[in-house]
Formats: sequence, structure tokens, C-alpha cells
Amino acid sequence: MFKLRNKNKKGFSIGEVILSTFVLGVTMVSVLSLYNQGLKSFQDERDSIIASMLAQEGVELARNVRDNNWARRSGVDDTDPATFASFGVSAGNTENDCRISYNSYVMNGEEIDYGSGILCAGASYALYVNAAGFYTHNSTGATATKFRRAITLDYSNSDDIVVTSFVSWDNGNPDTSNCTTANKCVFSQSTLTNWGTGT
Amino acid sequence: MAINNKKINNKKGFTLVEVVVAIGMFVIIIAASSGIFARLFKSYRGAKNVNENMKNAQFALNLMSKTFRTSSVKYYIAGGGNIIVVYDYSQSSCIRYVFNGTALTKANTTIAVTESNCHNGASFVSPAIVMTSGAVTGSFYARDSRGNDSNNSSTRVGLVTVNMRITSGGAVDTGSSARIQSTSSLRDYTVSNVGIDPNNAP
Repeated sequence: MFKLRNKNKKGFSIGEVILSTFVLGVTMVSVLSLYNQGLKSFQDERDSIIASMLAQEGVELARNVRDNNWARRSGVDDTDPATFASFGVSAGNTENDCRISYNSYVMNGEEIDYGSGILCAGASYALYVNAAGFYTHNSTGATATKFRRAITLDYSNSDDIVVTSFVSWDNGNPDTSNCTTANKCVFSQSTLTNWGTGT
Repeated sequence: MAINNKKINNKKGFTLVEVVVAIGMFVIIIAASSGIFARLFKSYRGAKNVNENMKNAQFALNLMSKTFRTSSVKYYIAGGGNIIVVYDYSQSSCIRYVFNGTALTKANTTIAVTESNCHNGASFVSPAIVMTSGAVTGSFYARDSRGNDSNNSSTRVGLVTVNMRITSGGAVDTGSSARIQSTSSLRDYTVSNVGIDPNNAP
């Protein structure tokens, strides 16, 4: 009888070993995944900051095109070029697939990077980082990023254009109908008014 | 008494061999998983540092954008470079921003200068103020505002684009980084004679 008990109490049974290993494993995996979640939220926070700045930049670039059109007129009575020249949208219309880069709008023989003004046809929204370190739509000599920027122009009202700049960071195009941080998309919007069309 | 003795015998602890084997296994498991944990902690710390440094960089970028809006660009490197000199009309000050390889710095001129004397060769306060934390590199892309009454097609409204690449820097540089970018369209129309009709001044 005692011999038997002794035998029973020797070492751990396979069941105990498996159970303890399992408990240890679960603990470790849960701790690991906790840190992994933290890491992911850091990265997500970082990307959303970058994206919101890029979205604001899209609006600012459109503003610069508008300002330049006005500046290039010969006098206050002049209406040429039109305030919204080089915008890629005609009066009364809405364009949903536009893009502009930091050096898109170039005049007087200075470097021309990617077209001129805002382009609204066959647009790829992907943003690359070029050799000088700038985010641009021009892929030549540049490395791809996870960011994409799409700009929509609402010119349905003749007195202004509503510019909305969407940026996503999940390697997919921005969902312009449902742009939330939950689906990794942010946007910035501004209304540009039709400046100085004469006195 | 005899029964008690037997009971004590049954409750005997672990043998030396059992303890050694158990500790050995424990050490092996910890050693195997510590590499994973170490890597994870390192990247976690790196990401945290990058985020903190990026917030500082973002603040510096916003301050700069605010300055650029009320400034004229007096010196820049075509196509993008690490130096820009601007004259800020709101503060009547000449400011030079430089990416010196590890940080973004800002320096005013040692004495107040006029707009026409504001250029890269002016005398700037040294050492310059460091505006960022961690390791930051970047560049400025600029077009100055230019009024040209004789040829209005060369009149233009300037623009400054800044990009910054932020890494965690220091001992825990894990190679993780972030790149931010911002553009400011200049508002120096009148002072640069942009959009002013010489025959029909406002």
C-alpha cells in the first residue's frame, strides 16, 4: 500500500506538466501581445500625425495655386488667369480624384516635377519620398510609403471651391465617403473663395 | 509513531537531480524567450522615443509655419537644402533655420537688420537655438514671392515646404523613424509687390 502511494507521488504526471507549460505559455503570450498592442498603437499614433499634416499640406498647396493665379494678373481689373485656373475642375462640377505635390506648381523654367497645378485624371494617390526627403506623387527615384492622398474639389458654387484633402495610411486609397481614424484615414477641408474678379 | 514516520517519509522534498533538472529547464525556457522580450522592449522604447521626439518636431514645424506665413524668403537652396533664411515682418527679424545633421536650429541676427540686409551672409547669433529633440534631419524647399510689374507672368506667390525625419537617437536607436512634412503658402503680397497694379495701386 505504502509502496504504491510512493510510486504515485514520484515526479509530475504528464497531465500536470502539460497544464503547467500551457499556463506558462498563455501568460507569456498575453504579456507579449500586450506589448505588441502598445507598439502598434504607438505606430498608429505616429502615422495619424504624419497623415494629418499631409492632409493639411494638400489644402495649403491648392491655396497656393489659387493665390498664384491671382498674383499673375496684370492689374486689379484683370481676370486672366482665372482664379481657379490649373485646378483640374470646371465650373459647376465636382472632381473626386485629384492630386498635387509640393513642387507641382512650377513656373518660369524652374524644375517641373509632376505636371502643373492640380491633376484630376488618372490619379494615383500614392505618396513617395524622393531623394531630397519630400513626400511627392512622383515615383521617379523615390521610395514608396504607406501614405496616399486624394483631393476632392467641389466647384458647384461659382464663388468658391471646397477643397478636401484625404490621407490614408493603410496602403489602400482613402475612403472619401467614410474617412475616419478607425479605417486609417484623416481629412482636412477648406473653402477657397474666388478672389478679385475685377472691381 | 511509526505511522507518523512513514508520513514524513512520504512528504520528502525534491531530490538534487530533480531540482537541477527543473532549474535547467527553467533557464533554457527563460533564455529562449528573453531574446524575444528584449527585442520587443527595445522596439517599444524606440517607438516611444520617436513619438516623443516627433511631437517636439511637430511643434517646431508649426512654429516655423507660423513664421513663414508672415515672412519673405531671403535665401534658399534650389530643389531643396538644409538652410533657409527668412525675414519675418511680424517681428521685424531676420531668422536663419538650419538642419545641422542632428537637429533643427534657429538663429536671429546679432543686431536688428533691415529686410534688404537679411541674407545668409548676415551675422547670426551663435550657438543657434536647438528646436528639436532626438536625431532630426530634414530639408527646406522654397519658392520666394516675386512681384514683376513688367512681366506679370513671372510674378508669383512663394511657398515653403519643410520635411523632417525623426529617429529615436541616443543609445536605443532601433532604426525606427518618422517623416513629417508641412507646406506654408506665403502671405507677403504687398511687400513683395505681388499682385499690385502699378497703375492702379490699392
